[in-house]
Amino acid sequence: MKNILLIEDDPIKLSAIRDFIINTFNFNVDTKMSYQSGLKTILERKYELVLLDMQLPNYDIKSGEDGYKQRPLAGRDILREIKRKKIQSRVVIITQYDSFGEDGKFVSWQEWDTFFSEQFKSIYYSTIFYNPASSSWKEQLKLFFAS
Amino acid sequence: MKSLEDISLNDLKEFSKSFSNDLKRGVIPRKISKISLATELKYNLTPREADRILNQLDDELYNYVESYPLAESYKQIGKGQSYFQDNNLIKEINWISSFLIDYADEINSFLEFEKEYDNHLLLGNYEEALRSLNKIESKISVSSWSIQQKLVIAELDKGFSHNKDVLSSILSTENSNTINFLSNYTSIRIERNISPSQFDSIVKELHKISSEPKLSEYIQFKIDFFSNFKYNHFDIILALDGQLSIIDRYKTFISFLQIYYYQINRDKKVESLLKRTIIDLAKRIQDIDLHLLEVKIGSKVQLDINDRFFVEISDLYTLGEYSLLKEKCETFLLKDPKCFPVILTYCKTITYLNCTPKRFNLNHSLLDRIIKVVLEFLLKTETFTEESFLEAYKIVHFLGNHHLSIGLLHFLAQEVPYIISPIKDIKYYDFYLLSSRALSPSLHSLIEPKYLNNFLALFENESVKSSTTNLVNTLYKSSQFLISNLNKFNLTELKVIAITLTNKNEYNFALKVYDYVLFNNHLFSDLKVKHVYLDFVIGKYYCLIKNKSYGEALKLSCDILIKEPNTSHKFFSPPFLNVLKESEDYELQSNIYLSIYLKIYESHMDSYHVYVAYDNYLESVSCKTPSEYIKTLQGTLTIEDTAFLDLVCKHETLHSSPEFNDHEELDLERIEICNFLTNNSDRREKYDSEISDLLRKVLVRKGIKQIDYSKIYVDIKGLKSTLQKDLKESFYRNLEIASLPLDQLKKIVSSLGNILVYYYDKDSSDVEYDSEDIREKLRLTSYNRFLHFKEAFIKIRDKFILSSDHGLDTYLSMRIRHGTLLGQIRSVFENHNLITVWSDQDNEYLPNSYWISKLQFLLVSNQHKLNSAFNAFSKSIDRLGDNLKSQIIQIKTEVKQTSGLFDYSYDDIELLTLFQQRFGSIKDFDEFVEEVIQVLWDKTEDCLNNIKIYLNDEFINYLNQEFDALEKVINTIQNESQSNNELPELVQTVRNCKTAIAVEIGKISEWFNRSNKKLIEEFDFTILLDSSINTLQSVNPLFKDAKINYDIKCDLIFDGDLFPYFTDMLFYLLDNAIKHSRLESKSLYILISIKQDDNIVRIVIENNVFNEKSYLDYLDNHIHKTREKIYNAKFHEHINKEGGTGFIKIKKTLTQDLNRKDNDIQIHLLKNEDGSENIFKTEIKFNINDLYKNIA
Repeated sequence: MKNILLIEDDPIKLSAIRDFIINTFNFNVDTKMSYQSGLKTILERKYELVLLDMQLPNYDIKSGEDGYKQRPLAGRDILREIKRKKIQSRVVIITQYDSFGEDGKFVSWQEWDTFFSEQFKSIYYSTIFYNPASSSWKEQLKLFFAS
Repeated sequence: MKSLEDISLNDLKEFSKSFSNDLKRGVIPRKISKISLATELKYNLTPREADRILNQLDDELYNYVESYPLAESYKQIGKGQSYFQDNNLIKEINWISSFLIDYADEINSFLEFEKEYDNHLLLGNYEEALRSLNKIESKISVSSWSIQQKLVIAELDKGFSHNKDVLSSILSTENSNTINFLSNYTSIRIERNISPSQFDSIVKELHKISSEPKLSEYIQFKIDFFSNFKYNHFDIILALDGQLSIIDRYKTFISFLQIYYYQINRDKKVESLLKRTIIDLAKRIQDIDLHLLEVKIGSKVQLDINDRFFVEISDLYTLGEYSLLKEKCETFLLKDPKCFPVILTYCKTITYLNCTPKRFNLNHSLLDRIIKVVLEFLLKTETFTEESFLEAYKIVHFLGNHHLSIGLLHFLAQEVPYIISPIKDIKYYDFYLLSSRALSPSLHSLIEPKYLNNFLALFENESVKSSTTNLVNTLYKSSQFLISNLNKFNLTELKVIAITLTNKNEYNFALKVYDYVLFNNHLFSDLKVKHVYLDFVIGKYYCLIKNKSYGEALKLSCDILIKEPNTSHKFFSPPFLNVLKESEDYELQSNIYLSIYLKIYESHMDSYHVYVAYDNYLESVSCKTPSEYIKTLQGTLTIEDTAFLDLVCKHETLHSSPEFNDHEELDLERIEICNFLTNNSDRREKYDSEISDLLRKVLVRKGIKQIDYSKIYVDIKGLKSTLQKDLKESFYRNLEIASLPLDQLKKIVSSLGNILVYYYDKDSSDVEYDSEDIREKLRLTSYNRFLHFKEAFIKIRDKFILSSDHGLDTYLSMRIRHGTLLGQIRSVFENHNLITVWSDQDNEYLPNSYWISKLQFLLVSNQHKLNSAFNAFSKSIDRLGDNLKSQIIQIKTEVKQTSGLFDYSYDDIELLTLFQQRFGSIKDFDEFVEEVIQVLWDKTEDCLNNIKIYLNDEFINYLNQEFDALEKVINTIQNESQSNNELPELVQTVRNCKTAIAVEIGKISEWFNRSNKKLIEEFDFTILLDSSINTLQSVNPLFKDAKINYDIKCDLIFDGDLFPYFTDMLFYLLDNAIKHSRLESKSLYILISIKQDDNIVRIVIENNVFNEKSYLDYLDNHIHKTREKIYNAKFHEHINKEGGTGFIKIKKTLTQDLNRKDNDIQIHLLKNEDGSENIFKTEIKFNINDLYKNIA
């Protein structure tokens, strides 16, 4: 059974993706909701696949806490660390947005896809566009697991 | 005769040919037009042929062709016919230079007057400067240059308005467009309050209008000289300025020559023409600029008195005779303040002598300003800031194309090499030397080797041998010779030798010179002058980089940078930064200096690199965190360890580390670092202050958490004390009655009947009810006793949930339903600009002006459609929030039938079960009360779970339905719209908001936890205010931009248990401020004053209010009614109701929760008749007896 780590801060999106993977593939899915908790888990445990949201809070958000700060490119930051620390995991970015960036500079997800494919060749697999109203993300995940 | 239509192209060519032939013979054809004549003269005839024709022209035609070289009025400047042939630089050079030769006398006079003018201007004598300028205009010619100088004087002397007065007196419809254009933009550029970047953006707009690249170059040359140094179309610059006055033509031509010689690739044909032209001009015109150009082309020059003076200054500097040098420089600058090398030498001398510079004008002249800013760069004291650079660049910008600005920019380029970027691709040093107004041996680098001996001989012929010439001669000896004789040179000479070796790429030799200087004891005293020492260190640093000795370069730079942060611009090297960022060399990665260096230049790169360097270094010493690293440090702390801990190990780096789980751990780590540094460094105060700031933040955050954790609350202590009175007596009486024999009971209690109930004796809870043992525990009692239990239980329950003094509903109302819940939900939507507020006046939601203004390109019908969708969305969100507040988060009992999820209903079966299993055997009242409260808490837990499930499931679903509805409308509009630039942003915002609200609801659902956590042990008023205001500003967008100030004169420290009560009070006080102000957040000012006077604490909140008579009358009336409610103290009736005044709740908190029976609340509206702000003021007073823990 595959070990999968899903790092996603939107609790609804997180449940939808986790439930879909468990129910469809019966894989083991661990979940984390911030850059730090996600990265820490990746460094501690081996995962065949990491499903990454692009924007994440720095720390888990708890009552009375705001997660320290929002990291607009947390997905990229985690990818960089996976590469730097030579972690043997593949990564799929799963996002709801057409574009993302920081400091007011936004780049389309297609451009990020190209960038990630070049920078993180042996790590990055692809970006899946998540839309709760559509099942295409499920199809893409199915394709990914089939491959 | 042929008509115009009949003339073919061939005819025209024939005409032209025949005109040219006539003109070449010195005959002016009768039918030739003015424009054809001018064109022929400039582009088709030789200078000699043209001269012959020009001599024959009458005044009118002459001025037309020559464009009024000696213009008498502004309207004459540039009024000749404009004619220009593309790509004909040689013709333009010939044309313009022939005029310069013809008008050499006028130019010589101009140069004399100009010198006088410049001296007055730079020394701050503006009246005299203006007189000199008027002399130039009346005796020689008005010019575009003189117009610009008039504006400069006006701005320097009397400022912006005078500048604009002069401008308006110049601008005229009779002027040429060029003159009006140049005057206008010069006037803007020299405004003292305009920044170079602001002016650049104005010029950028101009460039956008002028799509013609040649014109763009002209604009750049004339009004924004330092924006770019590349010129590909100097022909048009010469052509256009060739139509202005002879002064403008000369100035432009000299600039052209200087610019031409800084270019790396030069056209041989043009260069050969320029050589001849320079020689011709220099024969007739006495100008230092021309002489320097002569030096450049290898022509023989003569030294004049001024040149000798400058050589003397150079020699004194080389010899290091600073006292005399200071005097000489001051004398020189009074005669020629335009000479930047002397200004620089003077400033360096001042630093050597450690004295103050001469003040050339009491009113701070331009020369004084330049000296001041150069000294700031050299001394790098605390006064040296970003401002110093801006001031220097502003002067450069103000002066435009001027000797001093060229010099100052060269100096800046040395000091901040990578900020002044445009001069990288040209030989700017050559340009600087050519504009330096100083003829000395230092110009040797300008000269081709074949001319060098002749040039240096010029100085050797002097009676006193020039030490500078000796030095220059030495530089041409072999590197080995130089290195072997280092002890024969003084410091200045060694510096020049090191630079020369570096320029020859002989880095190892250069490093030997640098090390000789830096490690030589006898030079130590000279190196005490900061800029001298830095020059050597910087020189060595760049050699090390070139030599790829990166580790050494890092150590050298960081050792200085740590001690002298103001030197960072000198060590800034983007290529080195790139090497460091990309390097995978383990040795470099485990170098502690790497992270320090990257941290210093963090603003120039992705801060991730700092984190990587930090992490790599820690890993290389087998540590995961700075606190682990601290434990490995022994003995005296090194400068690099201190810098690593102080500069690098800060939040902005540590937050990327997976080792810290939350903000608090981050703060605690930093506190540990600061604690360590406090004990191990001499900057104790700095770290102590950082620690106390961090501790305060930790406490404030705990306060914020405490506010969240305290939302589900029942005042059990208060509740129990009231039960003592109400229930205890009857409890024991009922118990005694129940213990009577049955027949006796029958007689006493008529309602008993024959019903009996059973219950289990104590400790039955851990016994299985169907087991054998349970039978032994089974007891029988009267039904009446069950009824007594039921009555007591329900009584306690009602107090537990509904008591206005102690009950859950009171706190639900105060801490959740009263503003907080809706505010928290609404704030998410408002932060995304997706909802607006309800307008009572318009009886509808306000239009969503944020998105509508962003989506102006949409069809009006679509804008309406979108706005309606926003209105519906706002309405739905408010409806859902209101429903949550008024229906869901409500108490429900078997009597109070609501749809609330705090369901405390009990039927008889449940109660009987409870009696049988948990209460029947209890004989002690306190135990009974404890058990009831425990049962009620268990029930509360169920309710809280239900609320959480509702929020995260049902409520989110409702919200998502509303999001979907909004997105549907947006999609429809998007499909209809052709240009939809902004719609994706809106779609993205809607999705962002969807995630944000899901997270927020998750946080809200955390409120619904029963927590006994006491996060905050003790607090003072500052922590209370910080955390309360922080929470309020996050909950209520109306507070977001309000200016809230405190004035706390009370050092009392309270127990953490009281924290929620004080925050309750503050929330209501601030909520009232907002409510009663009727002002937008950004217009609202709130002042909170807290004072202690003996045993009385006084909290006063004042805020401004909407200034409108009818509203003020309404407020007066409202205050009157509220006062009555407060004084009547009928808070029991109001306490669980939402809306209305919060004062009743404050009163309740003071009286009940804080037990301050003798409190006082005053409300006033302070009306100011004089038009100043009206103030809503609340004052609360209470005694502090037994309330506080201690005093800070």
